[in-house]
Amino acid sequence: MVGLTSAEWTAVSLSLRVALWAVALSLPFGVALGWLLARRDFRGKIFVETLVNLTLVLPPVVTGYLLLRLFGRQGWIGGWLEEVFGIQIAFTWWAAAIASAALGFPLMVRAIRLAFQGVDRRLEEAARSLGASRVDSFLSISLPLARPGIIAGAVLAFARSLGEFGATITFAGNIPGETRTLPLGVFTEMNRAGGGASSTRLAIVAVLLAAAALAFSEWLERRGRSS
Amino acid sequence: MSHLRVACRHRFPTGFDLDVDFTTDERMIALFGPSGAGKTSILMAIAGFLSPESGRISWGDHVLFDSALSLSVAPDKRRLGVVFQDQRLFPHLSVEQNLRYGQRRRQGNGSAPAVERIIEVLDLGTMLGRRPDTLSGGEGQRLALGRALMSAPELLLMDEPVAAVDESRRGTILGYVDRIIHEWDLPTLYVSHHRAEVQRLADWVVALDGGRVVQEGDPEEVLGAAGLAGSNGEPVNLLRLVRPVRSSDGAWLACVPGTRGEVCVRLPHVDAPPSDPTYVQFAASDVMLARGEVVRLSARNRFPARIEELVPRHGHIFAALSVADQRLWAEVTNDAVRDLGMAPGVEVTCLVKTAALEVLE
Repeated sequence: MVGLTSAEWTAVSLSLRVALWAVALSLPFGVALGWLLARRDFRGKIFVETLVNLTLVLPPVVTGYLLLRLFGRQGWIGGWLEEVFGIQIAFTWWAAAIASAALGFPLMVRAIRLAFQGVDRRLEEAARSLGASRVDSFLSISLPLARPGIIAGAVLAFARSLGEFGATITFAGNIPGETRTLPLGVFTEMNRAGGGASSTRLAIVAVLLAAAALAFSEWLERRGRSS
Repeated sequence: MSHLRVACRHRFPTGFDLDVDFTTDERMIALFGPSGAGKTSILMAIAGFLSPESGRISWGDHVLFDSALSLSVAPDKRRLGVVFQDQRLFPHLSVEQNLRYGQRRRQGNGSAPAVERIIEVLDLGTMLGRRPDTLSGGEGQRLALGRALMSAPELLLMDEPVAAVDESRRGTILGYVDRIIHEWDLPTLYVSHHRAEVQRLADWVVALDGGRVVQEGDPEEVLGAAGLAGSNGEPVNLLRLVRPVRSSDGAWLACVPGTRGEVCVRLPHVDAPPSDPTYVQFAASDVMLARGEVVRLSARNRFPARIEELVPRHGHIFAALSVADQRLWAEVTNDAVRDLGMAPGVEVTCLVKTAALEVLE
């Protein structure tokens, strides 16, 4: 790792920061939606499921383009944010985080939904009979029992984030130090004369990070099974 | 104030139709009947986990459910303790944390049972640090009882609390149930399909079958007389026998005490000495009636009986008999009634093969 240049380090640390924020931003929504899909039947459930899973099958470039239309300066949300708060999202590292969150979200929701489906509802009833309110029984029974699955979902979304390319380059651009994450760094160096060594180094880091994330998630799953 | 009123009507998606209405002031109530009779559904409606389509449920001064008023108190506000058939222990919490779960959520009740005493009475002291998945069925059920008590309920609901326990341990768990009921004098609703359990614990029995109340009253009346056992709704005989003694040929005899002299019954072969009292059960179709002297017949159990009533049912006739001070039923044909001149008040001899007797735990 000592062999990385400062630009390469920047790309790696930016990638980690973007991925962490992407998970942090999407986790509350992921838990809420995962629980809702596991526990409630409502009109339009199929529509919601489709919408959540859309980015799984949509070309990432298209997702990035849609985000740009939404969060760009002329977009519904972007325009409003700029007008009211003077904030610009597109082509900042926040855009990279949002793009990563959008791409990792279906994986996260799927894992969390499965986790909640695995929690015995009869235990929630038992908690209610002992005086726990709805919210209390969720926090004291369902959430701790679903925790391994929730963490697994977060790890999966984190790993997906580290690999995000298409939506990021479309929505956040390829700005060194701001939005040039690890995959974008590899791509840039590859296309630069004499960048072969640099892209190889970055590729090795990418493999190590991905392997670490998978190993962590595997470890969590085993621990969850044995306890 | 322990006045329980349950009136509810509910049609399940399976087509099962529950329609019951009963009221009682007794403190130890049993819902009794075969599986599928609707016992657990009623318990779940009282606990607040099933909202009947229509009806009203009240306990003491509190209305828990009233469909006409669109009122349904949340399960956590009903102040009931529930012991579920399947235990439902929290797997991620220790035994002690399971116990404390309800304690931390108590809703102001001055006379709540003391924690230490609950642990003592249920012998939970040595397992506080363990996880629920390391407990045996019996230990788990004791924890489930303790956990429900810890929430300081005003009414304890128990759904077949011994069903999840091995046959051999049932008596022990029943002993614990007995202890907590007596120690805290807690109003209790007990669901069971087991005649002997109900006989042992209940002050008031509501007998159910096919989603309807078929009989209610004190245990002697409901269980001893036309108590129903099978889902066919036919009367089944239950005799309460005391003072088992061993006869010279090794068989056990036990007797039905009565004001007009007692009647003794020869029990089928049992491994262990029978308990005192012992309950034996047999079908009305296993009882023969004879008039006059009975000579040289293989049936070992013969008791003098008097016909109280003849009840036509399902194309047969059921003769209600008084034997000592207990009620027995015999299924007879129309022919037999005519030939033997059976009528209320007639004295007969009642014959039962020993092999037809089922000794209840």
